[in-house]
Amino acid sequence: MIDLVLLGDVLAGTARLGTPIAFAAVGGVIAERGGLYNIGLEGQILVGALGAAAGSFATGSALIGLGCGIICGLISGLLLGYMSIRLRINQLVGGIALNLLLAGLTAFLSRQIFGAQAGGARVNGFSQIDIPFLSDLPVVGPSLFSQDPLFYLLIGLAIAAWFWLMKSHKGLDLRAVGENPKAADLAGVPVFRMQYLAIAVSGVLAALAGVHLVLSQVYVFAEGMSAGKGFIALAAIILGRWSPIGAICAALFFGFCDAVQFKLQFTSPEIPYQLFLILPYLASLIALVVLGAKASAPASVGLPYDREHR
Amino acid sequence: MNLRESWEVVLDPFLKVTGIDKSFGAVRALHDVNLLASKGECIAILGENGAGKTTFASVLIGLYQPDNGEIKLGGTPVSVTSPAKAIEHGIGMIHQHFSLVGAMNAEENILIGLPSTKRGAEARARIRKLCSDFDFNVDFDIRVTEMPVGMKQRVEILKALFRDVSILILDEPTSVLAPTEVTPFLKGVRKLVANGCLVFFISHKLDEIREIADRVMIMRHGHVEGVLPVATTPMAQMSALMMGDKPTGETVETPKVKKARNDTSSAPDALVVSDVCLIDPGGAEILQDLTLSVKAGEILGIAGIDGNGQTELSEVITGLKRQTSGAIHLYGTEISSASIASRIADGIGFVPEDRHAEGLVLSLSVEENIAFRSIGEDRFMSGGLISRRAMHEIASDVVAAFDIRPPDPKLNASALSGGNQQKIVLAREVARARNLLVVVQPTKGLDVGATEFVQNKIRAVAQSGVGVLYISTELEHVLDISDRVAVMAFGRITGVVDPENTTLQDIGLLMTAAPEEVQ
Amino acid sequence: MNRFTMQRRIAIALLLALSVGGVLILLDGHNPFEAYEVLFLESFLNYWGFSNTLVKASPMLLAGLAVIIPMRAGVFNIGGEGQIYIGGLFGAVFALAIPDLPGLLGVPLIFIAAAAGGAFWAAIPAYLKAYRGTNEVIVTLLMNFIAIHIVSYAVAGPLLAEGAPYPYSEEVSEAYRLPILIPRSDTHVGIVFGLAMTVILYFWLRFTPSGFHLDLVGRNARAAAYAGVDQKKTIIRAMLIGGSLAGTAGAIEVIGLKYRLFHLFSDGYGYDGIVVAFLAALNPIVAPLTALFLAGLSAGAGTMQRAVGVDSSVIEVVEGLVVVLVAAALVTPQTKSTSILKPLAKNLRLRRQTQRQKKEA
Repeated sequence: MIDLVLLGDVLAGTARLGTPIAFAAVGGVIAERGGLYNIGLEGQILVGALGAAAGSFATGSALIGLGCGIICGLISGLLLGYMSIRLRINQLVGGIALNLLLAGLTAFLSRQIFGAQAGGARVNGFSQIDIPFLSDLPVVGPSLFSQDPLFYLLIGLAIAAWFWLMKSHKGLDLRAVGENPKAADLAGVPVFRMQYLAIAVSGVLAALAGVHLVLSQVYVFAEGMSAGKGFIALAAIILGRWSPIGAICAALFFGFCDAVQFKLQFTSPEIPYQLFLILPYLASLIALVVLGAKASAPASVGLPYDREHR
Repeated sequence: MNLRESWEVVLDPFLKVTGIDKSFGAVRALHDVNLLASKGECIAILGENGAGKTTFASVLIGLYQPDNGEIKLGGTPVSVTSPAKAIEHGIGMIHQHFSLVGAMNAEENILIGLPSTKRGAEARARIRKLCSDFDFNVDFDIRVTEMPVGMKQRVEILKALFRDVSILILDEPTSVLAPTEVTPFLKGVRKLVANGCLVFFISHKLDEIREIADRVMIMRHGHVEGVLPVATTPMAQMSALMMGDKPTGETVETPKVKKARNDTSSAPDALVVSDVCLIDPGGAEILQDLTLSVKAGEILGIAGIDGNGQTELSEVITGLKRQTSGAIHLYGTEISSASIASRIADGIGFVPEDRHAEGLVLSLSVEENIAFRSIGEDRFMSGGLISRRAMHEIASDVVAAFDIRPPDPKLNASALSGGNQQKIVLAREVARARNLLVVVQPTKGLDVGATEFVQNKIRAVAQSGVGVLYISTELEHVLDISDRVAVMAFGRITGVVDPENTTLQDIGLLMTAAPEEVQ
Repeated sequence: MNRFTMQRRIAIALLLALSVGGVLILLDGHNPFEAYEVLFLESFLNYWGFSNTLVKASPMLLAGLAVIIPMRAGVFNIGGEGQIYIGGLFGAVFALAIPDLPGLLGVPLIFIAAAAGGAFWAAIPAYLKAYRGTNEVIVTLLMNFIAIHIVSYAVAGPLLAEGAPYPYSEEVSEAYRLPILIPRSDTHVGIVFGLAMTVILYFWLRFTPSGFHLDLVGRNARAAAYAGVDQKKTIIRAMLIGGSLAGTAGAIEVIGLKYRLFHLFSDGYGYDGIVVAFLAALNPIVAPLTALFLAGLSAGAGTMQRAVGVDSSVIEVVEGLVVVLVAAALVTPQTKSTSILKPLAKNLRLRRQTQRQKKEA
C-alpha cells in the first residue's frame, strides 16, 4: 500500500512541478511555430511571477494577481518581438539579453514593492479545487483532480493551443509563417502581425508559468525563482516535437524527474540527490541528440524575415 | 518611339504604370519605367539577367516599394505596400522560386492567408472545380515537398486563380518545366488570357514569347526600351533592343572581329575531367559521365541553360563538392579526392557564381578580400605571421591594376558596387591561378565596359599559359571569348564546337537536347 | 555604418543603459548622479575598490574571451558558466590530489588541468554542433546546469572538507596559491594572465592564418569553405579554446581567491562574459576594458548600496539593458529604416489624390 501512496505523491508532484514548465513550453512552441526563438522564457517566467505577486499583494486577490502576471508577460513578449522582428537582433542574443534584463528588473522591483526582506511578503494564491467524484478516486484522485485552477487552465489551454495551431485558419497561417515567411507574405498573411501575435502569446504563457509558481505553489515572490525552468522548457519544445501537446507531455516528464528527485532526497539520502537534479537536463540533452532537432523544427525558425532581402 | 506607339495602342488601359524608379543602395534596378496595359492581353517582359524584369514585377506585387512613380488600376491610383495589398487589388505573381510551404499540402497552401469566410467546404469544391476547368493535374493528398516541379507550379497558379487575380505575373515559368510540361502549361496561360486576365510573362526565350504574348515589353538596365506588338516585330529587333544594339535589320549578330586565338594544339592538358558523375542526396543525377579537357593556355567555354549542372561542375573541379565517381587530373596528377585547400595550393583559381555568398566576405576590407583565399602563401607572410603591410601593398597594386573604385584597399567590400566587387574576386583568382582558372558567370550583372574589362583580363590569363574553364549562360560572351565551346545539358557535355564555325541554331539544339536524344 | 561608427553606437547604447538605470535610481528616491559618482569613484579610483574591481575583472575577462573566440567562428558559447565550474573542479581536484609539487610546476599544471576540464565541457556541444547540427545555445545552456550540480555534488560528497558547515572542499596548499598583485588586497595575478591571453588571442586572430581562417568561418561560412577552411574543425577548435579559457577562469577563482572549491563558486561570471564580449564588439583587445567596466559596475554596486542606499539590483538592470542596446547597436543599420514612413506618406498622398479626383468628378 505504501507504494501507492508514494506513487500518488509522485504523480501530484509531477503535475505541480511540471505545470510551469508546460506553460512556458507551450509558449515556446507557439513562438517557434511562428518562426521566432523565444530564449527569453526564463525572464518572462520571472515577470509573470512578480506581476502575480505584486497584483495579489496589492489587492489581496489572486485573480487580479493572475491578470497582472498576464499583462507583464504580454509586455515582455512584445518587447522581445520588437527586438526580433523590428530590430532583427539575433533572436538568441535578444532572448539572453531579455533574461538578464528581467532578472535584474524583477529583483529591483520586488525589493521596491515588498521591501528589503523580499522573501517575507506572503500573498494570497489559489487554493486547490476538488473535482467532484474524480477527486475521490484512489491515487490519481488526490493527485490529478485536486489541483489548483491553473492546472486545469493548462489542460484547457493545451487543447485550445493544439486546436488553434493545428486546426484553425489563423494557426495554419502562423505555421506557414514559421515554415516559409515569404510564401506566407505573398499569400497575403500579415507576417509581422502574426509574429507579434505569436511572441505576445508566448510571453503570456511563459508568464503564466511564473503566476503558477507564485499563486499556486509558494505564495511568495523570490528573486530568480524561475530557477532554469525557462531553459528546461526550451528542451521540452524539442522533446515534444514542436507540438503543444507533445511539449506538455515532455514538460510533465521533466516534472516527474523533479518529483522523484524530491522524494528520493528524503527517502533515500544515500543516493546523491544532485543526480536527480541533473536528470531533467540530461534527459533533454539526450533527447536533443538522439531525436535530432532538425526533423520537425519549423523550417525558418530563428531567421528574421526581411521582405526586401535580395 | 516605341513608348508613344504603345500609348496609342492601349486606348483603355486597365493598368497604368508611370515613372517607377527603384534603387538598391548604389544599384539602380529600375529607372523611369512606364507601361499601359489592358485586360485580356498577355505581355511578355523580355530582358537579359539583371535587366530589372523581376524587380519590376516585385514592385507591382508590393514586395519592393518604388522610390518614385505611380501605379493606376482602372484609373485609380493604388498603393501596393504589401503582397497582401496586391492580392486585394487582384495582382498575383508566380515566382521563379516557388513560394509554397513544403511541409503542407496543396489545399493548405492555396488557403493560406485568406479570410476565414473563404476557407470553408465550398472553398475545397471551388479549388477542385478550378482544377478541372483548367485541366490541372494536382494530387491533393501529398505534401508540396513530394510534388514534381510542374505540379508545384500548378498549385501556385491555382493559388492565384483562387484569389481572383485580374493581373497575373509569371516569372520565367517554363525554365523549371520539363519539355513535355511546357505545352500544356502554355495552353493554360492562353485560357487565362481568354478569360480576361492580364498576364505578364517574364522570359528571355524569344520563341516562347512569340507563341504566347500579344505584346513584348523589352527591358535593359532597369529601363523600358520599348513595348511592341509581337506579331509585327521581327525577333531580330526584339533581340537587338534587349541586347542594347541598334536595330540593324535581319541579323542579330553584328559581325565581330574575332580576337586572335592561341594555338594550343601542341600544349599539354591542364585539366582532364573523366567520366565524372554527381548524384545529389535526393538521388537526382546532376552530372552524368561528364568528360572534358582544357589545354594549357586554352579557354574552354561551357555554354548551357542555367541549372544544367554547370555550377556543380565548377564545384567538383575546385573541390567544393565531391563527385560520386570519375576522376579529375591536373597536369596529369590525379586530384580527384584532394581537399579544397590542396587544390588552392595547386594554383587553381576559381571565380564562383555567387560572389556575395561565396566569393567575398563583405564585412572584411578590400585588401583582406584580396588576400583571404591565399593567406598562407609566402607573398602574404613574413616571419611565419601574416604581414599586414604586404597585404596592403599587394592590394594597392591590384586595386590600381584592376581599377577598383573607390581605390581604397582599407574600405569594407560591402561599400563597393557590384562591378567593383566582381573585380576583387577576379583579381584575386587571376593572381592565384598558376595552373587553372575556373570562372562561373563572370560577367553577370556587369555593364558593357566592365564585361569587356573582365573578358580581357581572362584572355590575358590564358595567354600567359593557364588553362581557363569559362562557364556562362550568356552565350554571346562564351562564343566571344572561347577557343572551344562545350555545350552542357542535363549534366552532360552534349557537344563541343568551334565558336567560329558554328551557328546559334546548332548550339541551341545542343543546349536543349532532351535527355533521351542525348543518349 | 557610415553615420555612426561601431564604437560610437556602443557608447550611445551604454549611455542609454546608464540613463535608464539613473531613472530607476531616481524612482528609488536617490540622486542618480551621486549614486553613479560613488559607484565609479569607488570602483576605479579607490585603492581597495579598484583591487576589488580587478578581482572580479579577471574571471570576467577570461569568460568574455571564452565567448569572443567561438563567436568569431560563428558559434554562440553560452556555456562559459558550466565550463568555469568544470574547470574549477578539475583544477581543484588536481591541486588536492597532488598537493606537494613546487608552485612553479604545480600552478601551471593546475591551469592545464582546468583548461582541459573546460575544454572537455565545451567539446561536447562543439562536436554536436559541428557534426550533428545541434543548436549549441541550448546544449551549452543545459550543460551549465549539469556542471553546477556536478560541482555541488562533488563538494557536498567526495571533496567535502572535514567538519565543513556547508559544502566546500579542503584548502589548496599554500604553494599553489596565486601571488598577490596589489599588496594587502585580494588582487591576484589572474588579471595578468587574462591580459596575456587577450594579447595572444588578438595577435593570433590578426596575424596567423589559422586565426584568420577562424574569423572567416564566422563572417561567411561559405566563403570560408571556398577558401579551403574546414568549418567543422574550426568550430571545434574555437570551442576548445573558449572552453579552456573559461576553465582557467574557474581555476583562478579557486587558487587565486577562495583557495577552496565552493558550492556555487562562480557568481554568474560565465554570463557576464557574454556581456563583456558584446560590449567589446567581439574584439579581444577591447575585452579588458569592457571587463573592467562591468567588474567596476558590479563591484561598485555594493558600495553604492551601502553609501547611498540605492538597491544594487539596479546595476543588474543596467547590465541587461547594456546587452539589449548593444545588440541593437551592432545590428547593421537597416537601409530601409524609413520604410515604415515612406509607404505611409505615399499612402496619404494617394488617398488625397483620389479624394480630389472624386470631388472633381
